Amino acid sequence: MGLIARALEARGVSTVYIGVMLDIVQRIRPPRAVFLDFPLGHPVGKPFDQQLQLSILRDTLAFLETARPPADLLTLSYGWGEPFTYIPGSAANLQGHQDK
Amino acid sequence: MAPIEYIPLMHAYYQKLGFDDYPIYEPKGDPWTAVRKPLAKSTLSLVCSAGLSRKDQVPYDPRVKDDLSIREIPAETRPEDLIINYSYFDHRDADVDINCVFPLQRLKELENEGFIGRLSPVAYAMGVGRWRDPSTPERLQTEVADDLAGRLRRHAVDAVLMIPT
Repeated sequence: MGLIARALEARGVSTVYIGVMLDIVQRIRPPRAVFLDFPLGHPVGKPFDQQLQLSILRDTLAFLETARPPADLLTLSYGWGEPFTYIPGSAANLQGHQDK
Repeated sequence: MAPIEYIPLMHAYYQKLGFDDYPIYEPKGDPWTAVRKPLAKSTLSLVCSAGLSRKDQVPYDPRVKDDLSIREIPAETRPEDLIINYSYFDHRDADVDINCVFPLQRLKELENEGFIGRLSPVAYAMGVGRWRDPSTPERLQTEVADDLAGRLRRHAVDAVLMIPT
């Protein structure tokens, strides 16, 4: 998605990207990115928490106007509230899918 | 707690599966399009790579690699008419509230309160989950980006919210 954000900017479209994987965001350098230290699958927050989701979106969209080139990255200060980890492949196992 | 370092975890996982390192593209240059009008007067669209589709569309197949297809999702689509087809991330929360990854309802609310000028009538879902073909990143940034930029232009979109998963 970061690569597409970059390519859209090269085609005259302004973008803002919400990332939860900081090291990957830093590597890919989307033109405007916000980082949120939330678990994968929750780039806009927790389910049914309308106020949190709206707040994240307002902060993210406001960055369209305040970000400065090149490749600006803003860390949003929301906390997830409990520890979380990432185990690669665990979600695939959860869903019972096999690669083709 | 420091943010998780995903890249080493992915390299280790790929090696365990017998592949080379997890391929991460090294970008060149920093493209930039300045915002031309205030958000409150802009048309905004949404692009999300969660591999979701409307239930009446051809679903994404989580087993297929190099799928660069785009699904157009009308902005008025009801949450219960969407389904996440992918399996690369834990989407149990997004299954019960799709706004966790694809916040069409929240963006509509931001349009209603005047925070954004207009929500584009069409949002876009993509897969781009797994790549095998080395030409995929290049195709993504040329033919797929041309296609997507054309679709956005047809709806006079000024800015796009990009949500990877």
